[in-house]
Amino acid sequence: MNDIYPLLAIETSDSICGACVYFSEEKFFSSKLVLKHSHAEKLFEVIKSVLAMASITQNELKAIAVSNGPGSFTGLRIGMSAAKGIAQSLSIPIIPVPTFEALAFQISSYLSEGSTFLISNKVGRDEVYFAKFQITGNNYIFKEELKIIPISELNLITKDILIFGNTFDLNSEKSISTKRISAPDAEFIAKWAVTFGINKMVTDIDFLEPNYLKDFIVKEKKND
Amino acid sequence: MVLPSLRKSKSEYDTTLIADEFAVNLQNGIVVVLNGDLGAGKTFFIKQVLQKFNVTNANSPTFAIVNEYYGDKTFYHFDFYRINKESELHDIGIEDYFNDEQSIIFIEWGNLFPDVLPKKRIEINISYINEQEREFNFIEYE
Repeated sequence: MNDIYPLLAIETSDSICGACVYFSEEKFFSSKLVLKHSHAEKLFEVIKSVLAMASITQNELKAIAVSNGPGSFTGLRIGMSAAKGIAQSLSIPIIPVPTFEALAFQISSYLSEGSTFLISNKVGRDEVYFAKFQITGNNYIFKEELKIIPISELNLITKDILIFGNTFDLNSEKSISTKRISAPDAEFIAKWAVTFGINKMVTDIDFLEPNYLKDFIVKEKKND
Repeated sequence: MVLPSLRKSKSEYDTTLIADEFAVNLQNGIVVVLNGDLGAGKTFFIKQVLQKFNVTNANSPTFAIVNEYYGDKTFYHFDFYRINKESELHDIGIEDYFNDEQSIIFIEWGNLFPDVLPKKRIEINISYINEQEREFNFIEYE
């Protein structure tokens, strides 16, 4: 199992542009920035900074874990492109990490046993990605599978439940408890990958794509 | 401007006045769709509105598909005219633009791809009456 360390983790699915060089639970180097429309420009700087902190060169990396969505279309593409570029050049494998599960994993480390919570992130103006989790034995289980629902449906569900994600503005008048954490930190991408993702490792990366959930290959109509 | 609203313009100057009046309606998060034939004055109208927000470099995004402007507010200005199929809009990450509710979005030729438009939006239908005159029909969808 040691042949995946050091592992580079990348998170770009939402507002966080983050990277982590991960050796073990006791030793990792993580960095992030939050700046709109900056992922393409800043991701490699963030990666360089964590490599420098860890005092290793890129060539020493053994595997890459990348936040695989769902999330921002452009953000996910940037993260996946970077991961593929590095993986290809070093002939190392990629572990695609389901973003909502990594976030649930992170949240479950803060909340008490038995807590139930939702994560809902925007798809567009009218729809949200939605999943419901419960914490059992320091881990999370799905209470409702990840799916896309109309935002109006969310308004009906979210009475008195802990909700994470970017769906509501902090100053919105909604009377629900809203936590604005909408993306995992890069070290939780790494932790998810090493805890649950080893058997998801991909060496033939050509066809690896982000999971947008929503089928972006839409029905094509004729314009006349 | 109270919506819905129907306005007639007899000159570019009239259009400027209508644009000034409409600019008051614009808050972050609003999506404005402009429909009208080539030469109806969609881009002209947007330019006039944007001047109220100190954006002076507005131009037709027919070839760029989307222009971004930073004045008193942030604006994304789309033109669907040259889009052949809906998937091209997803390829440029249009959902990410829609998710940025700290901005105002203009979409020219939005009627070509109605399925991607947010339900909540303002539509402006511009009709050509003659060389000088235009009719502006403002409709709000919730």
